[in-house]
Amino acid sequence: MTILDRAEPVVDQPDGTATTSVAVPPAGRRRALWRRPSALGVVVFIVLLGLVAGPVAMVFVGALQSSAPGLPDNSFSLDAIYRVYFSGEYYASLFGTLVMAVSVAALAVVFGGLAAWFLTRVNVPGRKIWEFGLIVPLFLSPFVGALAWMMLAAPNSGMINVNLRWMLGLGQDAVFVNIMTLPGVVFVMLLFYIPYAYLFISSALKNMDPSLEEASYMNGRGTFATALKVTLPMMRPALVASFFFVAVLATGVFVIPAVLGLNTSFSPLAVEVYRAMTVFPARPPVAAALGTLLFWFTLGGVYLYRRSVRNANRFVTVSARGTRPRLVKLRIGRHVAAVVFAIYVLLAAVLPYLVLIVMSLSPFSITDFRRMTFSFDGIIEVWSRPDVSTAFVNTIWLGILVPTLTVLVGLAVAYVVVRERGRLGAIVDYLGTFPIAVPGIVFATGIVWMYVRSPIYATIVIITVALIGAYIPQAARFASAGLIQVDKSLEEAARMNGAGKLRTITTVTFPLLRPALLSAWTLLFVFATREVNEAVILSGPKSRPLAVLAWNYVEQGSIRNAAVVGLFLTVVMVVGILFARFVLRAKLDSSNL
Amino acid sequence: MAKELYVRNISKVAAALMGATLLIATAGCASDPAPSGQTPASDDAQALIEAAQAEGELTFYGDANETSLQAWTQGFTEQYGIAVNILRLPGSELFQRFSQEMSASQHQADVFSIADRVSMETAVDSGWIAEYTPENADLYPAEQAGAGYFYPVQNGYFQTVAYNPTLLSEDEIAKIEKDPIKAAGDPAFKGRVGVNMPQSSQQAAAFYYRFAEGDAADEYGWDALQAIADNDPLFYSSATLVQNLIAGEYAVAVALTDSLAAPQALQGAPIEFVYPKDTTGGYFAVGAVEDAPHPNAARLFMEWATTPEANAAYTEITQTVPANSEVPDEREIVDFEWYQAPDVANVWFDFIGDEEFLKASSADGDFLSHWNDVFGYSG
Repeated sequence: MTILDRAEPVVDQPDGTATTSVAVPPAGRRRALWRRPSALGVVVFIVLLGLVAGPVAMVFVGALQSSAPGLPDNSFSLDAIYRVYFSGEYYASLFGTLVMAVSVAALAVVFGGLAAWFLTRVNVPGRKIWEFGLIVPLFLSPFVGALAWMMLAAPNSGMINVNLRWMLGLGQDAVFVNIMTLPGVVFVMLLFYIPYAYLFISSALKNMDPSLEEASYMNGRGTFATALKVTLPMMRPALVASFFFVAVLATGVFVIPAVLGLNTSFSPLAVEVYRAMTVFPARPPVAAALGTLLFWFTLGGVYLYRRSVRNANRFVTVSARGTRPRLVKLRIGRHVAAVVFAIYVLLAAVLPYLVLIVMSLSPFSITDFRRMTFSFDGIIEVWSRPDVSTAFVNTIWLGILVPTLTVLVGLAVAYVVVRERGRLGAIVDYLGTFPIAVPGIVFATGIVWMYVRSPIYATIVIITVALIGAYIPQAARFASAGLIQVDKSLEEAARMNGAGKLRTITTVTFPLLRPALLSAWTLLFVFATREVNEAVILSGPKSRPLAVLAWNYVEQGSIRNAAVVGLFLTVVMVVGILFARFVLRAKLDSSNL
Repeated sequence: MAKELYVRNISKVAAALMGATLLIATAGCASDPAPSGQTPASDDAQALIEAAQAEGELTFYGDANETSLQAWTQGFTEQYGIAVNILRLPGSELFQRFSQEMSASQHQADVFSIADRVSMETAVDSGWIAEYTPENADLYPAEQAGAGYFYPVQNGYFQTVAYNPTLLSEDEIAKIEKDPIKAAGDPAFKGRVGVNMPQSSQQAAAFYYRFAEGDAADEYGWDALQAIADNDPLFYSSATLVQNLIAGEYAVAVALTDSLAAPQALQGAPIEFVYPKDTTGGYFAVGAVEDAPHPNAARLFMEWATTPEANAAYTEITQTVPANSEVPDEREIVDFEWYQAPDVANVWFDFIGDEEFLKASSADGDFLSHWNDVFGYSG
């Protein structure tokens, strides 16, 4: 869903179509690489330098210091680098992080892939519900979800364990589920990453030329033989791509293991970064050095991801999208699938929200149904905070500005990459991909170090700047996927008739890309309103959004108030999504990916 | 219950405000006939109030519980109509951020409050804290203040061993009351112990250090900590430790801060606590920031915070021992049958000046890594 597609199959044919030969003279392919960069390309490049390259570079600078950049007693030092890369102190953590990321990614691809296949190829009852239910977890902040699961399934005090114990008349030692283990952490991460894999794979499945499957059926192959021998091989690039994408995301997440995993046998690197920043004694250079270590590994993931994405389009025939694939009739299987989908939606969306509501009404974190008392005190307490209205305003500001501006920047990036190409296009492509390789907390630290002397420091503007930088890959991915599908000749017709580049983009390209851009807007709206990793480091007392209030409550152990803020946040998101859906007519599904 | 407390607090704060207003008024009357060209205090006070009100707001950086800070500073807002913006972060992160901002001349904070006194003294030495002596400065213990810079207006707090009485038998509770540290290492509590990590704060580190290598080492030593480690404890930071104890994730919490546990106990949560006789304690250090964006509001806040009324309000909210000598100890928690006040004479406050401890617990020292080894903690 992120990261740019190169438009190889469509525009990169040496002979080109009639239209391409107009734009690029014979032997123009070689020369295109040396083409003078356009004004748009230069502007995009400069914007990316400020939003992306600068903060990332600051992280590398910070890793080579004795304390945080800008402090008086600071000097050049290799201590942090030595400690992180060579002392061996973090090898176990690195190994554990990689194992965790790879297992989460593999499982997410398997489940997401199966879900996508069933929902695009099988007439599962209630398909529309499951299509929506599968992406509902995206609307819940991962740490709120992790918190809900801790309340549900902590080994001693989790609701499931506590209440089953007395219901079944068992002793204190009986443990039915334990979420605070490595498999538990992986499970919760899966709940939040399956939607990404699903969106990714189902988009490829929908765009695939169904005639190949058709031919397989004609030749007498059964459903499963066709799925295994025809569909699966063709999906391989998409599967590999979503594997690396999820693996990169899972490497950088710290909130889920931070909430659940303090007692697992290892600490993920992202959690180590957070600790190096926050616990006593604070070691910002170590955090930065850990950030650079993560950067190399995620960069490796991004490289592999890009390779697989490049091939992902090889079998996709954009023109054939009109024909829908034949639906497989599985008599029992479709019902089994519906039950599995129902269980997933229950675990990933229904239960967490129920727990959130219960926790927001219950004064102490007591999980025994027999001893629970309910009141609106938490809601009243949070609501009467002097800064809660500011937090609402900040959240709405981020929810409007971040997706809007990011979509515009993403469109410009995609345009330069897909339409103008050349050397600058390649650089822009890489820069636009970088943010995904840097965990949010590290990226935010780079932003702080870069902007601490500027007037935007600690204001809502700096959070906006950081989030735009962080989400450029997502926006660019949507825009470039859309651009590839829009025939270049339409733009060229406008240019031939004398319209300037800007006019062409605004009157031809933009309207044609509207659906894809609105999908991007909706998704980024959700990300921007629920974002914590970066905002927690960047916000000042007056620029805190709701999600940061919730995280602060978690950090000081007030689970009830965190749940209350989590519900407030959900209200904002639901309003925003309804607005996007019914006023802007945006669709958040995989068909625009 | 929480609502009752909230309402009670409001009324208490309101009472405090009236008191404070009266106090300022009387102070003004008393010093009116001040001789020899000195500006009368009342004029000073009035001028400060007006200048502060013209600034209109105040930014408070602190690491105490945010809900407590909000309830407390609300009193200031109600009295002077000056809004207080609170930035609450864990101590270590707060100090990093404050240092970074001050070094970059990025002035955000007006009042800086932190539990870790070493950080506060670094801030004073770096010239980040304004020199200011509030009128009521003398009401605070001199050894817990940095005269002319910071005052312990948010009281002291002590490390406890807390437990959830609904999960323990009477015998087990008696065991904890007798010697909480040895009890936490008693095999009877295997799998039922949670510990506040020494990485949570310097004071938490000092707590473990005192038993392992400090003046209580003869009686306890690393062996006593090893015994706790053998009970397979769960690791938490101080704030999450409280909630998980109340929820019943484990039954005994080692090194939990009383200022976090007491308000919960008062609201009826299943939590009680014991002070180990060799516990550690410290006082919050609060001072006005140099080159603050709202310098007058910051100074007025220091005046307000040092009044007995404001300290009484903070005492009521957090149920900690009042630091202001004119505030009587009328905490409700004292009336609880299980509550035993700490033996203050034996509380270790001096860890902030103990070179050996400071060296051992620094980023280059070996104490924290030794603790991690003993407890099998990988962070």
